[in-house]
Amino acid sequence: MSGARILIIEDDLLIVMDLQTTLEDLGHQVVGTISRGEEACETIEETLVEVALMDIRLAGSLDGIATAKLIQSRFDIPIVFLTAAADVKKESGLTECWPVVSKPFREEELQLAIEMALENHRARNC
Amino acid sequence: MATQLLQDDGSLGNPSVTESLEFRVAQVRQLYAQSRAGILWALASVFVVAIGLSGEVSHVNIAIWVSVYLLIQAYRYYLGINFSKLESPDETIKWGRNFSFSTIASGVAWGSAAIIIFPANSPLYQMFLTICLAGIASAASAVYSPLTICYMPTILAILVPLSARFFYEGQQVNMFLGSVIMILAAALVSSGKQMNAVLAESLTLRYQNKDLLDSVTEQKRIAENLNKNLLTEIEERKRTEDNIKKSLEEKESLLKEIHHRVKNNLQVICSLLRLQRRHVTSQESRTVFKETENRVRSMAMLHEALYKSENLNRISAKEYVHDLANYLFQTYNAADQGINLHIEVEDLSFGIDIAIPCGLIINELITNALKHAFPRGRKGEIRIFLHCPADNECELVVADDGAGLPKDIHISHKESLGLGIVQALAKQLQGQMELNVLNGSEFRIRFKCTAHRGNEVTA
Repeated sequence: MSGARILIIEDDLLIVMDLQTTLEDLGHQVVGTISRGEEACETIEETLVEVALMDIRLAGSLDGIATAKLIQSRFDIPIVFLTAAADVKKESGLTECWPVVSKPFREEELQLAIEMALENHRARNC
Repeated sequence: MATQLLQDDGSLGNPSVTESLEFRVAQVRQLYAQSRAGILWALASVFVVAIGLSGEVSHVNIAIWVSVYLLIQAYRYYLGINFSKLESPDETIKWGRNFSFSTIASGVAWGSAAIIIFPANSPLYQMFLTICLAGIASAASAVYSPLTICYMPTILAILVPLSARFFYEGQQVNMFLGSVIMILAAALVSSGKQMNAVLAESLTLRYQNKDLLDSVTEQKRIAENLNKNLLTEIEERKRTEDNIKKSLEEKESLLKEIHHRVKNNLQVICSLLRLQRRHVTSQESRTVFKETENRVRSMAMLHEALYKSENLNRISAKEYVHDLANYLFQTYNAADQGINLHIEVEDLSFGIDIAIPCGLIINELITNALKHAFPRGRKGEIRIFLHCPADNECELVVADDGAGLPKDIHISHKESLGLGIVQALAKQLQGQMELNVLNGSEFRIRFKCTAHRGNEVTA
């Protein structure tokens, strides 16, 4: 598949650096990196985003789940969650639809999750 | 007071009981209750006698007798009205004494009829007076029986003068009548005494019942208090239980938070290693970084397993070994190279002290086998066994059917970091390591652990 335009929403900048190079190595394009959920909609409006890569714990008052809901209410883009919490699936309805990658992530897992999210979005499963 | 005395010795006639103030007050009350109607009947009787004798006896005498009698009755009526105003027991006793004196006075008035209005000339009217006085004396015996001081003098005051009068008249029939009246007086006194005893007994029983009732009421109060205390205690226990539950939930949530943070930190370490890996050029250095990343990840997987586990401090050995081995196979594309994975792990759960060294040992040995045992596209199998044959001993075996280690290799080979790590961790587990290089290589590590039967294994 050709690379996707990805927005990284993560508040740990070392992880952001790693994600950025890993995604670029995998052939994707990182169109923005933000650390607060509140900035997500603005960035998506300004930039053409194909996938949002979302940490669940964020710096601002909105967490990843709330931010994802906000994004879903305004934009039609797939979301990939990234979290160190293992049982996040039980805690939110959204993550049943979008893939969740567990930290520490592997390149292969990340790639697979992005492909799945795009596929689900194309098939209008979510 | 009386009730306590009755508890000690409830026998009737016990002076301490019958002489107690409370008992005497009760007797006076009985007297009052019985004599209220008596005043009216006495008034009626006095008029019957007066009218009956008006044809035989001087009207002046009758008038004097009736007047005296009415004065006494007026005083008795006054006492009767005042009874309800009495406040202290002492006043009641005093009232009883006054009432008894007025009753005796009334008796004396009746008795004086034998002197003042005695129909000396008419035996028939004598008979009439005798019957009337006998009736009055009988009534007095019954009505005033609660107090001996009341009924006994009254009966005697009514009948003795009449008897004396008959003896005074001196005729034989009169003497006979006088004797009969004395006998009647004695009989009435005796009957009054018996009635007095019956009434005293009924009072005593009333006190006993009162005592019983008090005791039952007290027991009921104690039971109610106990019940109340019990309810309070139950409530307190429930509250404590809720607090403990809440505290446990908080602890669980804190533990999850810790595992979460540990995983996040391990992610940062992995990210740093990956970033560094991209900046080195030699393949060997890249491999070193990759291997280190795998070691960190094997620990992260353990924290994930702990996070998912029910009690947050034990993990399923089976699940963890499967996840770890599969992860390494994927990392090295082992399945694509025709290398199989065979895992046999008993259904056990490990604490973190055992699980981390075991996980790292498996990580090193599988990595080692995947790197060295199957050179130049050689196919084969890696086998992992983990079981506990004895109560306090477990065995971990990682084996392959590959090319095998060099014949001259020693377990404590300084050049292989992986084998060094394995040996150090085996020592940490207080285990014995054995290397068999007959068909491929087989690492067998026996280590101590306790209470491993069922799903519980602790270090």
